[in-house]
Amino acid sequence: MAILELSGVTVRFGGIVAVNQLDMKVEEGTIHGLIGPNGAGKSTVFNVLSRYYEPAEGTVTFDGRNLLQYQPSQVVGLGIARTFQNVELFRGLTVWENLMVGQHHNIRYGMFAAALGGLLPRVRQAEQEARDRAMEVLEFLGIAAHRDAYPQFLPYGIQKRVEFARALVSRPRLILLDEPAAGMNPSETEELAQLIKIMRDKYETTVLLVEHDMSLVMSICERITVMDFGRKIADGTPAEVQANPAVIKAYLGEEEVEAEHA
Amino acid sequence: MILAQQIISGLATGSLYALAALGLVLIFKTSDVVNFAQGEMAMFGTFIAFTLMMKGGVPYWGAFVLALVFAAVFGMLIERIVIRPLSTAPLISVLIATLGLLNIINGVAGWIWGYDPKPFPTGISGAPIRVGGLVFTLPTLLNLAVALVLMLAFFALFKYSLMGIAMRAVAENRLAARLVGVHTNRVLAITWGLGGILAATAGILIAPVTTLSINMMAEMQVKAFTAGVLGGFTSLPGAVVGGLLLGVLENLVGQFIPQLKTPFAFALIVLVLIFRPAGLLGTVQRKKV
Amino acid sequence: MTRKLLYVIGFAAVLALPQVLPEELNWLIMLLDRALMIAIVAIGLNILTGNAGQISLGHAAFMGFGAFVCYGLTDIIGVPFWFSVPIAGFVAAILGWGLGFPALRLSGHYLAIATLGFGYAIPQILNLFEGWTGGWTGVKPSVPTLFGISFSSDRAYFYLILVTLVVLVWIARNIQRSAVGRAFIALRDSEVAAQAMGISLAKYKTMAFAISAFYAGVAGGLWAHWLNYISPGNFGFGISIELFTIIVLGGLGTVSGAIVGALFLGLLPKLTEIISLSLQRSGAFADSFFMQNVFKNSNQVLTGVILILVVLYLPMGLVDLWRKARVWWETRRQAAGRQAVPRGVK
Repeated sequence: MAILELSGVTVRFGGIVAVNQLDMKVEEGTIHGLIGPNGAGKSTVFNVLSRYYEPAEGTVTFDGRNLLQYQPSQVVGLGIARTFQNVELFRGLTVWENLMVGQHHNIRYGMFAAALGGLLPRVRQAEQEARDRAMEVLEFLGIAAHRDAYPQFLPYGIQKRVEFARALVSRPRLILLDEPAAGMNPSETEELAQLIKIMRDKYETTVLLVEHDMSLVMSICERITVMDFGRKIADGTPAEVQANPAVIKAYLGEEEVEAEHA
Repeated sequence: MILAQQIISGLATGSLYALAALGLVLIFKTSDVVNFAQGEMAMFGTFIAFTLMMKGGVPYWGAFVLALVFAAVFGMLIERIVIRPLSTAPLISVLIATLGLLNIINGVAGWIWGYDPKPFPTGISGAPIRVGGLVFTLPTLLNLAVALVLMLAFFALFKYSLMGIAMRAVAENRLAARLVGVHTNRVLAITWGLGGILAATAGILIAPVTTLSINMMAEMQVKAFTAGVLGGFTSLPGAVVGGLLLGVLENLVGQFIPQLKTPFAFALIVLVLIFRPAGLLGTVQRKKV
Repeated sequence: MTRKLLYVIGFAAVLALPQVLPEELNWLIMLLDRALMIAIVAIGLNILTGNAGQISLGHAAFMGFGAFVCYGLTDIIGVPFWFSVPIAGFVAAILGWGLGFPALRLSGHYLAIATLGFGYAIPQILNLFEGWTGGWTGVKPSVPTLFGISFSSDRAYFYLILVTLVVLVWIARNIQRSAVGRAFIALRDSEVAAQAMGISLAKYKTMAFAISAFYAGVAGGLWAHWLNYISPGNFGFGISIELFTIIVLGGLGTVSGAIVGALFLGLLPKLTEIISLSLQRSGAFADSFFMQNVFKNSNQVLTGVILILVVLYLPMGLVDLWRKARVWWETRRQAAGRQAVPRGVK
């Protein structure tokens, strides 16, 4: 069953069409890759899913619900969590506090309860549960030792993991990873690939990732959607996509293909 | 007829707002700093001109020019000592630094010239000009002319001169400007120098109306902010149009509902920022996600 | 254990202060009263600006509004004082919440300018309601009486302020450690990521404005009945800038920073006044116009210089000095320890 379905999604910025009539289905429980050359519109798709951009046309259905009727801050409550291309951790909060924010939609007490704080048993309990859950995820990702550190002082690879953890801790049904391998060396990327697989299995989530690194995409994705100039040009398994002439053309560039023919 | 005369006196005050707003906008446009000390720079330059006239016996226009020279150096010094070290600091730090400057300049001026208001001469005097039933005083015409000439001069500077283009480049993207060989520091220093000149010009033309005192710019400064906001804060013609419009609107509101004359400008700031944050002639940059 | 003991001793000393200070030091109690009320406003402003990252250059307006609401309730309507103070806080919070909505569309410099305009506009608007606020001539709020005790002296009022301060410090700390406080910091650091975590910018920004306005409103209520004279003109740009200076000086985002900053800035003018007076009495600068003016107003320039120095060299504020000193002490001790070990091995 498709957990996420985009149909006819078009995004325009002024006169520029960033995404053009995109149809895409993400099956529940899969690791789905969204790839394409620079400027293909992949990040725009993510920002539509996060509700930062309003599509001019089309529908987006998540888990049977019309995603477009929700606010950006309601998306995580539906079960969609995400990471960012250039790590967007909260600098003023420690690692575990970042994970507490990741569970914000689950912590249900208001301003007046917050003001009274530990005096209220339900506040104490909500905080304790969130803390336990944060620690569990930190341990799963092997970064529990950094829990009291401020993220900007950690190595880039660890920061990426913290962002992962912050997305995971919200118990998402779909997790959006925006270029998770950016800035990583081959061995780190390999490690990351394993991590994504384990994560999917343990937390029973669906993964949609935007990525430049072909080796990562080809090694872990079960389905791949390829975009170029805002349009979908291919869709299928890694093997199918790799064999698709339109994809080769988009990646190698028009001139080179023509040169080969000549 | 009364209405027309009200508009003219609105333009008279508005031209002062426009003058005060020009320097703010110039500095914000290039260095991305809202200079809360701009009004105090104006006041200080005006006191320099005053001292030259009273103690040094320098004639009005000579004192005017010398004060501008002083103001340019003063502006560049401020940039070098306070603003440049904060070029990578968060916005709030820069804001606080200009508030600190506001305190220092205002306080030091009090030390040097005392706390009593003093009358300040106008550049030209003579019988008002009458056109039909309308009256134009000479200082009003001078202020309007100076505001318009400065606006056009700086507009042309930005559009056509190499320095102006470098300023625009620095405003747009400081790192990229540096990479293509623009001396960003020099450009910023010159911007603040020019900002100082605009401040002192405004101060000297405003002082005859408000009388010269260390707090002469306090309310004027808020009006200048309003004018800048109204015009868009990144547009020099916007600053002048905003200033004139504010002057006229304020006067008309005062004509019909006198109690609301003063709160009006402040309400206008909030309303414009909410409904048209880009102002009348400005542009707003949007952060990329 | 020793730390707890230190806190207890410290608190007891603060409690005893008004009792043991001699008559000649009445001015100190007066300054402390003022500084602690300002500290209450600063704690609220620090939640708004330090935690939630929303600049407000017009915060004195909330204080003034709270002052007049409290006066109106107590002296015009006849509500008991102890009840009107929190009500003044809540009414100011509603105003702050309302201001939060236009602020949603603004950030950084634009927000600074808009709040500056707001700070100028509120006194002007209050001035229009002469029947309530007395216009520019102002009104004279009564001396409050609680449980038959009249709080007419600065010494008695000190306890009233202290109790309020302690409660509000406790609440501020609770908020900062809660999901609400974390949401404020999150939206300050990255609005985009905060939204993705389920934090509604509209809800939390307006909430931050409301909370900070609550603090200002309560302090304004205390202020009105402490000073026994208020006019809309008293709550202008000067106090707004003082508040902003305090949180930057003390340390952005911390409760202790707001208190340290308020005490520092509250006692500084007296210090400069004492120095100025003694210099003036010595007669050394009797015929210097410049020095006479310096004596009249030295703390404005001093404040400006301190602000710039803090921004340049101590961006985390005065409370960071304490942390820095501790780090320095620790590294010194560790260095000493490391030297000691090899000697022992030999």
